[in-house]
This record gives sequence, C-alpha cells and structure tokens, in this order.
Amino acid sequence: MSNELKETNFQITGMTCAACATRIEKGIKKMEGVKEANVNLALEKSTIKYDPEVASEQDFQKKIQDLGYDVVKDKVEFDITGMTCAACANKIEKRLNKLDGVDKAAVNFALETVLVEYNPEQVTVPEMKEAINKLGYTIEQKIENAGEKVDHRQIEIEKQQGKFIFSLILSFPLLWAMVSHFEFTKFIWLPDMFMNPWVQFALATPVQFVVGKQFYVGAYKALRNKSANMDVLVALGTSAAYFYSLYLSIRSIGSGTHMVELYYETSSILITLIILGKLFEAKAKGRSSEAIKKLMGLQAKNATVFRDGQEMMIPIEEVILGDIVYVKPGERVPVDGEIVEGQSAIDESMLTGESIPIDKTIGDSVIGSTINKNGFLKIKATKVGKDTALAQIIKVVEEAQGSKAPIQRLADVISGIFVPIVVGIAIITFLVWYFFVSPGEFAEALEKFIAVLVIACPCALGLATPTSIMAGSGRAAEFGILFKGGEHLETTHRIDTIILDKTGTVTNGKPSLTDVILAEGVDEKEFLTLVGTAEKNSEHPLAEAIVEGIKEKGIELEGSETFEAIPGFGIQSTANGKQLYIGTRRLMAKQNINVQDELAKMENLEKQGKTAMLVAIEGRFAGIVAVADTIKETSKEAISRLYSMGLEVVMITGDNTQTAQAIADQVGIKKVIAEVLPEGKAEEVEKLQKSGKKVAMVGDGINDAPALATADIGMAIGTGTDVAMEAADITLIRGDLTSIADAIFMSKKTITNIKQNLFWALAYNCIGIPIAAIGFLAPWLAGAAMAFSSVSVVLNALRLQRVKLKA
Amino acid sequence: MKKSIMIWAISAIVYLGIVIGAYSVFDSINPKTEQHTNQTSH
Repeated sequence: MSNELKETNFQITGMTCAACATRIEKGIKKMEGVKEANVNLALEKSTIKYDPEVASEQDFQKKIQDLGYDVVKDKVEFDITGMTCAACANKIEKRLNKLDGVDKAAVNFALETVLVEYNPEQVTVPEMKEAINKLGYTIEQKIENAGEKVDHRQIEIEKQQGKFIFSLILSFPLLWAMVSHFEFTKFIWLPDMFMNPWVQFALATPVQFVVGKQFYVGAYKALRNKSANMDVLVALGTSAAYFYSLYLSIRSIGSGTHMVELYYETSSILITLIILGKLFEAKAKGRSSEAIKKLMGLQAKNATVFRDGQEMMIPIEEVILGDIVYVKPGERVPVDGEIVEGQSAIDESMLTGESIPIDKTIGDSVIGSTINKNGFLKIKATKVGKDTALAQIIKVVEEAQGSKAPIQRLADVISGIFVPIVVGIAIITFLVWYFFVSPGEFAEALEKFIAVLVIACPCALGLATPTSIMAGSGRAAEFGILFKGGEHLETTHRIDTIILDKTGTVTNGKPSLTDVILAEGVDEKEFLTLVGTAEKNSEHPLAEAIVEGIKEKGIELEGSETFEAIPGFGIQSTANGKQLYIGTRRLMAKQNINVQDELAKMENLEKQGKTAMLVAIEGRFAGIVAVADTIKETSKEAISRLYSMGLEVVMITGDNTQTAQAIADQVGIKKVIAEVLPEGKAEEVEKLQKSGKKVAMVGDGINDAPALATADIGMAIGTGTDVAMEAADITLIRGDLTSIADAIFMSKKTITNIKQNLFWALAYNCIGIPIAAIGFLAPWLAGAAMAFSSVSVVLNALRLQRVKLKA
Repeated sequence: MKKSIMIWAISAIVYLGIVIGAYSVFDSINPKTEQHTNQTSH
C-alpha cells in the first residue's frame, strides 16, 4: 500500500435499515486497498479512505451495486466552444474522465456538447469547467439545467408520500371491513362488497406488489448476498398474510355458505403503516440535516468582481484566487479575502458570535458569509470554494454527522445479527402454536408468526444513534461548537478536569505594553529601539505587544542582525551591533547576568498580573519591560459555571508563577501550573490522566498542539482557522470560555438522547416479541407499533434541535 | 400537492372505482343468494 491515501464519498440509495449500512461497510472494508470505510444510514452516505494504486472509485461503485444498492449520480450537459476536430473532443473527454468523481463523459463533436455523469459528492460543475478551461476550451452548462440542483432526498420523500396515499386509499375499505367486525363496533355499517374475498383480493394486490415491491426487491438483494434486513421481515410477514388469504379465497370457491377468515387487511395495513414510518423517517432525516442547510444558507450566491477592466456579477463558484471582489453595504462578503480598498464595520456574529460589528480597514482579513454593514469594500480573494472558513466549518459538521460514535457500532452489530434471530423466533412461535397451543389451527399460528416478524423490525435501532448525532452536532454547530466526530460527542460528557491555557484562552491574547523601567544610566530611546528591534522578529503575542507599544512612542524599528527564540526562557538577539537577552529570571541566570537587585520590582509588576521581562544589553542588566493581557469578559463567569458543573479547572502557562496566580485569582481558578515549557504541557496532561482523570485541554491549537493531542478531548478556541481545526477534537468558534461548558452540556444532552433512543428501540423489540409470540398482538397492531417506534426515535432525536443552552 | 403525489392518489381512486364498478356489474348479473360465500374478518 502506498503512503498516499485518498478519500472518496458516495451518496447511496436503497438502504432501509442499519443491517444494510453494516453490510455495505463490511463489503467495502474487505476490498483490497481500503483502509477505512464508514456508512452512515441517516445521511445515506459512505466515506472511504483507500490506496488509489490498489482500488478506484469505479471499484467501490461496482461493489455497492453488486451488494444491491446504488450510488447517486448526477448528469449535466455542457456546450463546448473552441473545438476544431475530433482530437479536441478526445482531449476534453479524457480530461473529464480523469477527474475524481466523473463516471462518464461523452463528447458529441457534431453538436458541440458533452454529457457528464458524475458523483456530486466528489466533483462539482465549476471544477469540471475549470479543468476544461485550462485546456483552452470553454464549456458552459446548458441553460435548461443551469442552477438546478437535484435533491435526491426530496424525490425520495415525494415517492414515499405518493405510495403511502395510494396504499391508504386501497387499504381503507379493508380496514373498514376489519374494524366493523369487532364485538364493540358491530353497529358500523359496511357495504357488502367489501366483505367479498375477490374485492378484497383486488384491493390488496396492488398494495402488495406495487407499493410492496420495494420490500421484495430489498429482501431479494439481501438474501442474494447471504444476509437479512428489515425487508426480509416485511416481505415474509406480508406475503404470509397475503398468500394464505389467496389460498383460502381459492379454496372457498363453490363451498357454499362456508365463512372464510382472510388476512388481506393484515398485509395491506402493514404495508401502509411501514411506508408511513419510512416517510416520517425520510422527512426527519431531511430536517436533521437542517444545520448544514442553515450554514449553507449563510453563503452568498453571487459575487461582483472586477475583471478585464469591467465589473461583472458571477456565481460565487466562479470566483478565483486573486479576484478583486466588490462588496456594497448590506451585502454578504462572498469569499474569504483581504481588504484592498475601503473601510467598514463587518458583522461576524453568524460565525464568531461577536455581536458588535468589527471595524475593518485596508489590510484586514474578512471572512466569507459575514455582512458588510456600512462601507463600500474592495476585497482580494484569498480563499475560495472549499477553502473558505465557512466551507471548512460545513465540512467539519458534515464529517461529525457522518462519523460513528462507539455506541453506534454496538447498535450496528446488534442489528446485523438481529434479523436472522427474529426469523428463527418467528418460526419457533409458529410451530409452538400450531403443534401445542392451538393444535391444527394454521391461521392462528400464522398470525402470531407474522406479528413476531413485524414487531421485531430493527429499523429503530439502526436510526437511534445517527439521528441523535446529526441533530446534536448540528445544533452544537449553531452555537459555534464544532465537534469533529461522533466519538468526541460521546467522550466530552465524561470529562472531569479542564486544563486552560492562559494567553488567548483565559485572556484576550492581545497584551499591551504597560511599563518600561530603566536601569541607571540607560538611555530610554536607545533602550526602546534595541528592545523593539530585537522583539520584531518574534511571533510571540508578548513580543508583538512590546513592538506595538514602542512604535506608538514614535520610534522607528528595523530588523535585527540575529534572532533566536529560546522557548520558556525568552529571546537572544543582536540589534544595531549589540547583543541582547530579553526574558525570564532563568534566562538571566543561565547567562550569568546579575539581576538580584531588580527582582523586587519584577515581582511587584507580576503581583499586578503583568508579565515582566528582564532586558540585558551587552551582558549587563538594562531594564524591565512589562506587558499586560486583559482577561476576557466572560472568563470569570465561564469558570464559575465549570466549577458548578463539578469539574476541576486548572490553568497552565509558560508565564511566571506570580503573574499566573494573579490572573487565576481574578477569574477564580484555584489551581495553577506555571512556568511550564511547551512540551511540559503535554506531560502535565498525562500526569492528570494517570491519576484517573478524564482531561480536556483548551488552547489556541497552535503551540498547544501536543497537549491538545494528548488530552482526552482537545478544544481549540478561536476563529476556527485551519490549524486550530486540525489540532483539536472540538473547535469553539466563538472564542469565549462559556463555550466549554456549552460543549459538555451538548455532549451530555446528545448522549442522553442516544440512550433514550436505544432504550426505546430495544424495548419495543424486546417487549414486543414475547407479547406477539404469546398472542396479545395482532399483526396490524405490530405494524403500527413498529412504524411508531421508528418515528418516535427520530422525533426524539429532533428534540435536540430545540435544545437551549443554560444561561 | 406535487404532481407525482397527485398521480398516485388519482390512480388509487380510479382503481378503487373500477373495482367497485366491476363488482356492481357482476352483482347485478349474478344477484346474491344465501348460498353465496361471504368473508369474515377477524
């Protein structure tokens, strides 16, 4: 296997329950070259990681089709300009066919068109256009297709709705006939014709073979692949009722006044109720991906760009890197970019939760989907398409919704073996009734057999976890909490210890220069020039604060001759021919620079919560600079909330103990670990884990990466940049600490919801099977209960979409 | 109501009408007697 793994996604149709999803997953995992395969029933999507040298997308498509399912493919037709001969047509065809996700591309040279069949999960229309434009041709989507996006889920919902109505209309007379024959409903009038076996046969047959065809097809595909799913149960159960009734109807011909007991209404009503359950499921699945739709709705559809000397409006997909985009007041920023002209206030609340618009001017970056409030802006596109912050957020949410929590794998295993066991129980039930309970009463035994098959359907079990994960992670995303995977949604609620980084997490991470104390005989201007020059090369927030503060005093700075950052100690630099050391007591001690008399001043500054740095020039103490970072407004309240949830809160920092303690006292943190080197943070996390704690680390995701990776849950706090998302398990977009408690709260809510769903799903099956076997459950009632179980699981999951965060 | 759903609904109603109509015709040709089979549902 090569080292370069590729990832591909497919939308799959035809899955009816978790057994189907498990079967596809197992089938693909067995293929050579496949490293990982994940099939999500609720999303109807598969994600496969594979070695492209061993396997291909076509192999996966074929495997999925061999297993009896299908891959969603879209078709699009383009007009081509620029072709001069058949060789051009060949070139275009080859290029399109090489694109990942394109199944088939066929160029019609005479008509100057190309028809492309493709996987919409892998490739988009703009990507195809770009590929062909690079060859020197132009392709434009045909007008009648332009702008259309086929919503396969909506088509499926409408199909199920139609089938349900058809089935309901034809089943209604059968239901009427059944109801009017109960002891307590004998008064209900019923036209004689609906009691005629052949009228009943005529009504039940289209329901059985037109509406019910999908169960026969599904059952056949499952059995052909030596497995069983809910279609097998439904096909068996309804067929038993229908064909036994048909047999009795034929036998009754010419038999005079013999009263015949038939079961046509059983099969028809069962099918009607099961289709109703499927319809609710399909609708609920559509609603549970509302979070993604909401996020996608934030995106602008068009952008005004300046190209070739003129202004033009183009679809957002056609914006390329470097384009100058115009954004008028009130419009959404279409793509991520940098302001090249103008200034304005930008409303970023939909992404960061910051309710006050942020002032932006030339050189500032803006995020796509935010709203330009009051100034006209020209923006240079720096990230487009899949690379924008919004697209990254959508991707994280989609991946989280598609990934499996450990608890779900258990449900999948159970679903996979459930159906064969249920068929066995149903057969035993039939035999017990036929030979022992009511000897010779075939009809009675058959009824119990059908009831057991139908009540045991495991579709609710298969839906229990994925729908909750989808709803929970989607709702969390609305609160600015991005869970990277279902497993993190499950683990987060078990956290009992939170470790917080100081700078940028508890504090704003925007320190400012507060104090400059000079040693005797040191010139202030020279001191500031040298310190500023030395610190200019450092990327540390404290260094940036010093440089800003010095510049504000009107001092011009140039680059230093040498620079070396010594993590945990400070910096060493040569500026204007002089050697400088700027940093901690330890740095001075290491360089044998005497600062004993200055320590009191340093401590005094630190007690005020400031970070003080000693400065030595040419081997002698020259002064102290101090910076102070402000605490985030919500930090104190957030930490108090974490304590009230029973969590232990620890602050960890490379800063000195006094400063760290002063900050901790201000926000109410009781435990502080200070003067920790970057690699030491991960060790501290490990120490706590070894003492049995479940640890969450909260940091900015860049220099905290080892600690974030070591912790049970890593949370990146900030604006959701690529680096933060890569390092952490959860990204807290809104940047304030209250999101930590919110993330734990959402995790708890989601896990509770999953457990409720699993309980109800299993309860329906476990309680329902013995009740049906004993004979207390009529088949039609079993069908209603089974449909209700799926619907109730999905509706319960959807409650997560209305969860409100605790104040 | 969407077109596809309308088609399913109308098909069911038309089919139901055909079944009822066919039975009515058959019944008028072969009127019911006491000997005729009836069906009981359970």
